[in-house]
Amino acid sequence: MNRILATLLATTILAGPAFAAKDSITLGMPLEPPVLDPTAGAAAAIKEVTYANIFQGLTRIAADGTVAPQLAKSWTISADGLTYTFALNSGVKFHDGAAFDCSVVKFTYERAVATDSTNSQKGFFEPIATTACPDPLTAVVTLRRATGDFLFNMGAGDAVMISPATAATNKTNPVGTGPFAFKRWIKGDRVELERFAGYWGPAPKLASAVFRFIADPSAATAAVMAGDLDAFPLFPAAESLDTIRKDKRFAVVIGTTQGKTIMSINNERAPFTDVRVRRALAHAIDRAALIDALGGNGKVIGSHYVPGRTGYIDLTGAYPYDPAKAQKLLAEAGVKPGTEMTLKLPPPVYARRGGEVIAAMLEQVGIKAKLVPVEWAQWLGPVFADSDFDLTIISHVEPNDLGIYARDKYYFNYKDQAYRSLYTRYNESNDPALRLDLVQQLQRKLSEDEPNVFLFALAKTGVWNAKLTGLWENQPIFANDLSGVAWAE
Amino acid sequence: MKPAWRNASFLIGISITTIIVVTALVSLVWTPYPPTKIDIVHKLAAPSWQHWLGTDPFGRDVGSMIMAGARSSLSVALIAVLVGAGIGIPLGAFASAVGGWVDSAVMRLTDLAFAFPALLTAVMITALAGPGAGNAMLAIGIFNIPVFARVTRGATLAVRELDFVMAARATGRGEFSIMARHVLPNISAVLLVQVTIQFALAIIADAGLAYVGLGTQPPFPSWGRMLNDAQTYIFKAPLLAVFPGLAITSAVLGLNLLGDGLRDLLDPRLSSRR
Amino acid sequence: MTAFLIRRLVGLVVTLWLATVVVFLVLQVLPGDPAALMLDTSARPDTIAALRHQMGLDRSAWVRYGAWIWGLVRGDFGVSYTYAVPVSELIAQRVMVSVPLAVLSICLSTAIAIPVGVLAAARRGRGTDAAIMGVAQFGVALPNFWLGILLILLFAVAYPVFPAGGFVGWEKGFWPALRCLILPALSLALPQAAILSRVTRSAVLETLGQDYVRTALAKGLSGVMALWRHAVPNALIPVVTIIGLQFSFLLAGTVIIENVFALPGMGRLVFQAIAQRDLIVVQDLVVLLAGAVIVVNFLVDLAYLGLDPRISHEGAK
Repeated sequence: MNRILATLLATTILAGPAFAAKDSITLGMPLEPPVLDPTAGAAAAIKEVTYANIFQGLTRIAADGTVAPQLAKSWTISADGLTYTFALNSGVKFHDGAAFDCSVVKFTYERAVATDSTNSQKGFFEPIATTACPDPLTAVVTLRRATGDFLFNMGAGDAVMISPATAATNKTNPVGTGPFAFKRWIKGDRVELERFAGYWGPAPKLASAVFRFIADPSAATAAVMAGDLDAFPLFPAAESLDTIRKDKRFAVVIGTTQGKTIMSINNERAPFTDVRVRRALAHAIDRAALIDALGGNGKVIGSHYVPGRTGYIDLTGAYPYDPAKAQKLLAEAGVKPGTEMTLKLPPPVYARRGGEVIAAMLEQVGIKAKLVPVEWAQWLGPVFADSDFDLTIISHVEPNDLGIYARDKYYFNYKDQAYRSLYTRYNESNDPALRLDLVQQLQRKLSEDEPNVFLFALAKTGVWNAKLTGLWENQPIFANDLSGVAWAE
Repeated sequence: MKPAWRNASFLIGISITTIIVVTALVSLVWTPYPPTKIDIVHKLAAPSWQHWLGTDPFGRDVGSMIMAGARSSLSVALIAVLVGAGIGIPLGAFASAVGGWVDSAVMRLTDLAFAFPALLTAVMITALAGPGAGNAMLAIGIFNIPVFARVTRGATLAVRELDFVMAARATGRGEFSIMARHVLPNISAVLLVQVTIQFALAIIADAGLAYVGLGTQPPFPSWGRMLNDAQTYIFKAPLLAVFPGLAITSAVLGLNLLGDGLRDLLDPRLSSRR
Repeated sequence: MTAFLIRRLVGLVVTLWLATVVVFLVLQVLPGDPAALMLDTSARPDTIAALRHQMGLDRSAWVRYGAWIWGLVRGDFGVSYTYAVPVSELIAQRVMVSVPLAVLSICLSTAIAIPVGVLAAARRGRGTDAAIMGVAQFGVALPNFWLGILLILLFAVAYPVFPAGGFVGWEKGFWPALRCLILPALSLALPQAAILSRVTRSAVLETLGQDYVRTALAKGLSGVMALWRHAVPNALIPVVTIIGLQFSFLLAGTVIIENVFALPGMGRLVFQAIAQRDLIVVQDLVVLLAGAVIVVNFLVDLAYLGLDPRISHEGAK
């Protein structure tokens, strides 16, 4: 009898701390990262696990999308915009105990542009001429040409600081300077992180974090409802949000991403060389109905820029849904009713299901859209690399990518000199007022030429425990920054 | 031998199969709504007088989609079985007629084909050539070849030793002539039964491929993909997951019963075992 | 007997080797570049080339095939392009889902089908028999993935007893992990059980007509005793054949069922690896799955030897 009582007491006492403030978190993610080194792969999932948690850069992107100091506590830019002098934080250590100083900066940047570099954003580092270390806590980066986005780019996941000692093994055993250290990775299931005791900054509130990978919408819903997950920042089941909203335990937070979902057009292929045809396509699509069919959380866009970013202007009224006008424009351009166009659809839901809706809308204006589902490998090859397509649906998720319309060779083949010179001025300017004016001109120019049909900004549908604070509402870059996350008392 | 109208399996089987074939044919000229017509406003409607089986997440009429789905399902299965039988039967007959190392080589190849799980083969073929009804037909058809080859070879070997074949051989006829004139007609019953079985299996395989996104492609409806779509909405509209499955099951059930009935009717030796 | 075994073993190795050739050739013509996939749309051509070199993709097909086969012979499955870890490690984690699922399904279907089939045979021509065979006829026609969805509807949505999908992992304990496998295993097992019960029934009926069973009955053995002592053991040969054949279907079935229930098994790994063009993983998995089928068929042949000594003489010829 006594023993039973003692056991009961012991159980109660042991169970006690569980009721105290929780200091761990389990997050759901739809996709598993292939590796855990953000400098060795483009997959968004890599950054969603490691950015700001395991790895840090000289600068960082804050929740509102602005550039903030990180491993560099401050910096100065020379008047010609070519020399950046970074003052580095002192006492910074990697998880394996190695010290962080200017030599690491030099190593990281030089590694990224080396011939054998496999950094997917090698272009970010390409303007760098030299990295010099006058003293261990000062890094002087000299550029070949002025680059307005340089500080933003150095805050990207692809530009985080890598220790020379662990550069080769970071793919499976990442070692960074962040507040959380890598603990283990059960492939196909989860990655576990734990608080790093030697962290140079303020210690995070959370002692540990688990990222679980659940791609299936119904399994994701079930895991959230069962309380197996504390948060699902990019919840994959829009159709279940209503059910979750009704439950007081959860907060459903609809934010914005940088994903510009567009119907890309091959501008070099007839009849799309004619701007009237491209405008007709824009008039033929009912964006509101499309968003509704896909779960109702995107925001209509009118150019290649998302609401919420600095300099955004609302151009959504440029091509209202107007099938009659679309038909008229098509007739003027000599496109006969019944003309067939192929619409290639990569795997994401917005493309596959969105494509079905768009095909039905195009049918209303006399265009037969032939749907061709493709895997990513077949999208990246024939469509992206070789421009072998009429139309395709894709979300461009990079934050600052107005530059893709200025490239010599890019899959949709928009080749407009006026746009290119505007963009060059924008890219090389460091003057905020001028940049703001130019970014608006760029948006207008794209809306006018409609090289692609701009559809909607992908929403960030976040679901998390109502007691959690500090998770990002929007997604200026791919990240699940846990440094400021805590459980409310 | 019992007359056909006394055989319950045959009667039920032929009725279900006829209903499905007729539905598929009717869908060519008429469905209650156009099966691909999107009507977002009326999405996920419950069954009603307007929409007997309700509407899907895009507001398409589920009943019309199931009718049109019968067409894609039957055509994929038909072509797949034709490919399988068209190549497999001559291959099996050839192997048994020639015998020797050719026979062993053919059997070794069918072993190999059997070792690859059918769906994996299909996944690889579609990865190669892209998803679509044509490739689903090909993938299922390829898997059918060794089945028909083996059945033909087995049945042929049994018949070849029978007296009348021996008699034909004694008159100096060539092996291939004997095969065409005497052996194949005698195993046609076995083959016909196998065709119905494979047809039923092909319908399941087609639905499975479509379910994982490798079969008939949108916008054309298919039963398997309807099930996949329905699963996403399983909490919201559970009925969506019921009708396409019922369609698949009844088609397969009909063909299986038909096969059983045919076996009883055409080959009393086989039926006596059951 | 030994000669027969050796011949079968040689056949087994040759078939496996042919399988490696076929899968390698097919994947060579598969369009898509794993390096380009890893680096996505921002990558420059020189970066992609550097990664291809790092992955060893710039070597000739002959060299890659040779390296792969030489590795397989030594039990080395190679390193995944996408995950940069040994493929054996990736597969080992998936095997812990797929194999328990397959074993559970086979056990379930056998445990259901044999008693039911024997019962139907014993009650031949009566109501019980007709009812069982009617249900079985329906079960054969039931696609397992639809059954899976129906089971989710019933036991995860309407009456939430089991999870709708996903796998918690064995480290969470035996029962929580098993709970995730019950519905998937049932979905696979029931249609198989329907087929198996029909086979069991006809096999038992056949043996019931044999002389030795009649003799046993004549010697005064009760009907039930005769059934279980003589008829059932002798009916096992066709039943074992079907179980062996079902194994191949089961493997194919798990690929779809893992999708229905979002289980991290080998089938899903195949899909994922094909999508990512992680060719070495695809090669390994296909050969492994094909190998499993070939070996199981071999074991079934061995089981014949145990069950029916007559076959060994035929085989030895």
